[in-house]
Amino acid sequence: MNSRYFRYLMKSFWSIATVYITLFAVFLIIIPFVIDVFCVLLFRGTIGYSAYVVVVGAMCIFLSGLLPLIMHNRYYSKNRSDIILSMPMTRGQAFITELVFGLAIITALLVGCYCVGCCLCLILGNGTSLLGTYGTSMLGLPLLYLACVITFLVSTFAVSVSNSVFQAIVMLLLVNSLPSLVNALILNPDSYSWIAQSSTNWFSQTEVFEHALASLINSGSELSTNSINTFWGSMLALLLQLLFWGGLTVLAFFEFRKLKSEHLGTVIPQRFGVVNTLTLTCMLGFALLTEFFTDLVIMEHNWYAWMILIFALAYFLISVIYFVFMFVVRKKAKFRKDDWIRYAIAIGGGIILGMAVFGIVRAVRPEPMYYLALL
Amino acid sequence: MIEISNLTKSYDGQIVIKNCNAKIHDGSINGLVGENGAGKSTLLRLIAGVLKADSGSIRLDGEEIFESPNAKAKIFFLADEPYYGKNAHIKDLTTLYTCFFDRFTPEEFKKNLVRYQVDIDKPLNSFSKGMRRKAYLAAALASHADIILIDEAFDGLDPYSRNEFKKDLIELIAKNPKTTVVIASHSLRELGDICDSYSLVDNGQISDEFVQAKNLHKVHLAFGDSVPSDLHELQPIAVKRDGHFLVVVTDATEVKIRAFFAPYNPLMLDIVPLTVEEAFIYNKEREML
Repeated sequence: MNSRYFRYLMKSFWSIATVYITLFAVFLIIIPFVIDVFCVLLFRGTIGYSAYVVVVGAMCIFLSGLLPLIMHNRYYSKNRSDIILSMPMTRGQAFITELVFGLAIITALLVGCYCVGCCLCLILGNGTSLLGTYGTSMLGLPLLYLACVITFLVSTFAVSVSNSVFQAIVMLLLVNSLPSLVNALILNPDSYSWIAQSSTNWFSQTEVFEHALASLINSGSELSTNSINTFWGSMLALLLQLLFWGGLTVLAFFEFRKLKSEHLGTVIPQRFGVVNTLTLTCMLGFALLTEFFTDLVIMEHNWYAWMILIFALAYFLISVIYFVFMFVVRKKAKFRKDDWIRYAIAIGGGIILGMAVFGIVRAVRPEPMYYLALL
Repeated sequence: MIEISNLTKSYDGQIVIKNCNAKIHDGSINGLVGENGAGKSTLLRLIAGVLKADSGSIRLDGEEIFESPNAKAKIFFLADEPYYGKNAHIKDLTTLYTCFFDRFTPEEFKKNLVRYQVDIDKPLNSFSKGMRRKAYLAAALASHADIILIDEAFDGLDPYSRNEFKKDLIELIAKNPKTTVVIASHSLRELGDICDSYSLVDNGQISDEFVQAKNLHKVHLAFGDSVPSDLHELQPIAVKRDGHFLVVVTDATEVKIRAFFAPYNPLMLDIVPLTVEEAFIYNKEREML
């Protein structure tokens, strides 16, 4: 038994986790909580709610953009393999070591996201405990977590096909912003008709989705037009998702076949490493947060929905500009045929999956708290 | 002892190390020299177990190094551009090496760093190239590994630090006579100061022939009157004239050299050994003639 690398794993895990737990605890729990307490005390919660959303949202957006870059600088280099693979361990153990690095950070981030969720739950639930909120969602949670895991994995792939962290971020922006756009403009165009929306929509939509769920269970006999669209939309998305995963598996098989022994060290950080997973986690968190805000505010504050839509459009625009710049203006960027295929699959998969995930969520339980669970 | 047997390594079909055989004995400082792209770094990576050989084997005390944690635990490898993490601190390096090398001494590491004037509180990315190099060299010295492999050992170091490191390395070998050091470097003068033996990596092969430079001789001459102009008979590889002084590098035998210059009555005729750097350069020049 090689105990050396276990020692190293534990130390690495702990050192990274403590840094990020502290970071999130301070910036996403303590500070917002203090702000909130003051807001609630001073303004009886009315303004506190808005302030909280803005503060936490801004923090998440900020960190989602910043952390990947920081982590990229810290952990990503092909030269790292010289050190890691020269350590007294097998290549398999080296692989696990690098993976644990990634997992350590993801864990820290998830803890951070969880903390954000807690904060939001506390505020949005007007003091309702997190457990109490989850208590009403026994059916939805497993599905939500499953959806979360799948989205996470797809995003991993989307990032792993990128050649640099910047491409990776752009890829994730594309993958994660397009579903929002599709969702907003195609699946639920009514949601964005500012004037037509009213707070009562929340209840009417809930009712529609409850019908959709009932129809799913009872082979559907009393479907309204809206629920039919939602139901079949979800099913179609699921089917496409299955096709996507099938394709992805085949693609992954060919990817792994390419691996050569001398590339193992560089492949670890490139394809499974910290940057990729971290980037996607951040962006996923942001995307879900976006969705959360979108769906939350559809019912209560429509201007938020528009704001989020503008955000998504802006990100999409940035992505397009980036691609135009890289492959049209800077003609030096060479793209092989299979690169385009991989990008197409990743982006297409992201869109499809995004639709599927939120289709499922809507079909099962449309309450905002379920989106929090996704975080 | 490190035994390299029939070692072959290629990248994308291009052979870098070709059917190589060599032995590196315990308790020695070995210089690994060669042109850019000759395969020095690849060889060190293969010995360190970072790369897998296409064929052949590298054994340390009879044990295959690749995929053997036991064998690798005896080897400290310092790559030409080591990278642990851009924002990593000295303490991160200490954690890494303490975990993996049982004989790594953090106190000695710290002592070396202080002596090399490396700021232990700053992240590695704030260091200059030379400073970063010094930090890793300090770790190599504190590792107390049986085998220390260093790629481009003197790269980025100032003359004082080079001297300090050379002294430390010699001291290390004096204290631990079984320690083996292999240094790949283009600084042949530095290697010449510390190495017991040298190997030339050339065309995928390892040889020590260049040290003797295939019987090259460097002849220092001084003449009172006429300086011989036609040296064709000696087939010189290099000739340097400065008034009445003449320096000739040739592969002619000592007897032949003395016989050739005897009619010119040289005031001085010294046949001196070539330095490592000269041997490397003149050997290459002869190949190109």
